[in-house]
Parts: sequence; structure tokens; C-alpha cells
Amino acid sequence: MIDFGKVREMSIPEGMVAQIMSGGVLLWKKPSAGARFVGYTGTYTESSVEIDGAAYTLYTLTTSGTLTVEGDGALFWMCGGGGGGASGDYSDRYGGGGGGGGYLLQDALSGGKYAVVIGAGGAKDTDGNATNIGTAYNADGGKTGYSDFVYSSYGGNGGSGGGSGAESGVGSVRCGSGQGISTLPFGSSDLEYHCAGGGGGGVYYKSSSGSVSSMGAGAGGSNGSNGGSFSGGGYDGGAGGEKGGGKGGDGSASTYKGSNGTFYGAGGGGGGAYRNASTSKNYEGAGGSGYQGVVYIAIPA
Amino acid sequence: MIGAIVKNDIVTGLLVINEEQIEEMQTALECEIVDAKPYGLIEGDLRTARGWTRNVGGEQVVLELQNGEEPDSYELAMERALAAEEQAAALKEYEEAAKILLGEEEA
Repeated sequence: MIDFGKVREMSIPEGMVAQIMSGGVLLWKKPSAGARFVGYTGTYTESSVEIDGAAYTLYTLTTSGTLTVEGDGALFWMCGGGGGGASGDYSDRYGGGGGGGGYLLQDALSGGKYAVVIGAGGAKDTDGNATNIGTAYNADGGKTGYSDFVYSSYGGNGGSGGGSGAESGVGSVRCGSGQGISTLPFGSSDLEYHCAGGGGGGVYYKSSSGSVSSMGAGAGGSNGSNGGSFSGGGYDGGAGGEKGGGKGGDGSASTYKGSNGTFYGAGGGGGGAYRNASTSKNYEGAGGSGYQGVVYIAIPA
Repeated sequence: MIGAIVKNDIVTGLLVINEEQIEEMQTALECEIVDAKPYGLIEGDLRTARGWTRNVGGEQVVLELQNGEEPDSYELAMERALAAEEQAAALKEYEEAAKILLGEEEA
């Protein structure tokens, strides 16, 4: 309390409120107008979560639409669609790289009306699509795996990196890079990891002289990490990253096709490849599709 | 559904959307939204007088209507192997029937 009798003029700091009382002026921090979820025209669900020890109402937006929020104090977390896995290539003897998980973005959201775009997951050999809130906030889709020359197969970059595709004959690290930050929305243990990378595809190659050179692929990255490098043995596809990353296709048996991502922002698995130089049995699997993006809006309860 | 965001006849991205929100989002994004599924549209596809096209190796290739998911080379090989097995079984049955008819074998 400031003694009114001693102060004739005073400035009120920004963000503070002054209340004149008998005998003095009381200053206190201006209260937030209080965020309020007014509505959303697309598909959404409502639930309760704890963020940093405080209770919030969480709105999960899963299709595109118009969002209206009043007041300040809301938070958002969003990610783009996962990248599609790259297809295997038996002629160049590599399994496809896994798709990267969608990129993520978290921030405070001021009151207003926003067009929300929920990005679709990428089909095989294509990038995932961006998720947007209005024109100010953008989270890109994860990248697909790719190859830049014979025998090379890279995992796609993204929220978590895609696993390296297996290569026959060369051995260097070609995993996709992750964003390096946690993919757990708002760091809340009530939620799950997002944006998993897809596993790379395995490869099996038998030369005309009968020598076999096969290789297992790298696993998809989890929780913002890079994808895995390929391993020297076997011909299996890499495992998908934690929570929904698609498994890579194998380099032998009947499972050449990469699996699709199965949770928000997850990348698809790369396709496997099989080549037998002395027979006509050469196979290659297509990459799996990435999974769509999502937007979460958290309002203090 | 998966919608393609079309600006100046070029697909600029794909979004997840309910049909009820198409008109509203077209206005908000100042674009046209079309169903991506029939032609499997992806970012960069171009609409021309010949239909939807995609740049493949520097050439604009006209996209065909898709019927479900495209099989990969292994699935195609398995389909061919299955068809060949069925053909071989039918041929064997025909040969046996022919032998019986010609009296070379008892029924």
C-alpha cells in the first residue's frame, strides 16, 4: 500500500492495475482476461490434462476448420503430417529410407479467429504436409526418404528422423535428422509422444557368383531424435519410432512393403528390396504413408 | 477426406477436412479444395486442359484415375505366380480328362 498523503503524482507500470483506497493506492498485477474456447467448426475432442502442475482443458483438433478463442492465456502445440517412406529399389540395391515425423511447434495463442489447416500425411515417396494456425504459425510436414546416387538411401528429416535405408555395398550413416526437442505435447505426461520416424527398408542382394550381401535398415527416431543407421547383418526393415512410426519393409520374405505411420505426425516405413542377379526374381516394396498432423489447444481450467 | 489445396491450378498442399468445411476453408485460404484421392494428387501437381498432370523427369505426365492402392513388384509377381499355378492346375485336369476320354486311363 502506498501512502496517499505522501504521493501527489505516480505512474502506473504497464501490466499493473491501481486501486485508490482510503489512505492509499494499491497496485497489483493486471489479471489475464482469461482464455476461453469459443468453438471450432472441424472435428475435435475435449479432455483434461495437467501441464506443469496446473489443470488445463485440452482441445484436440483433427480436421481443418475455423477456431475461435477469446482472451489470452491459451497454449497450442501442433505438428505437420508425417513423411511417406521411400520405396525400395532392387536395381540400385537399396531399401527405402524411412519418412521423417512431422515438424512440431508450441507457443502461446492470443484470442482471435483462425483458419486451421491440418496437414495430411505424405504418400509413399512424398513429403508430409504442413499444419497451420492462421498465417502466423506453421509446422512443416516430415520429409520423405530419398536417394542421391546408386546404393545410397537416406531417411527423411523431421520432428524425429527417419531410419536409414539399407544399402548393399556401401556403409555410411544416412539417417534422417530429428528436431532435437521433445515431441511430448506441452511436456505433459498425460499425453503421448508424437512425430515418430519411420524405419528404413532392408535389402538382400545375391550376386551372379552366389555371394550374398544383405543389410538390415535403421530404426525410426523417437521423441525428436535422429533415425538409426543401418546394421551390418540380416535384411530386416528397421522398427518404427516410438508411438506410430511405420516399420520398414524387409529385404526378403513377403513383407517388402513399408508400413504406414499410425499416430499423429508419424512417418511411414521405407520399402525393402531383393535382388538375385542369377535369377529373374527381383522385388521391391513401396514405402508406407505418413500419418496426419494435429493441433492441441490448452486452456487453463 | 484428404483435400488438395489448389491455387492457380497448382496443388500447394494436402489437408484433412470434412466435406462440410470445404466452402468455409476455400474462402479462408482463398483457394479451391478438391478431393485428392481419385488422382492421388500431391503437392506440385498441375491442372491443364489435358487433365491433372505431374512433372516426372522434366515431363508433364497426365495422371490416370486410380483404383485403390497400386500393387508393388512383389505383389504383382505373386499375382502372376498364382495365376500361373491356377493355369497349370487347370491344364493338368484337362490332360487327365483327355486321357480318360482317349481310353488311356480308367475313370
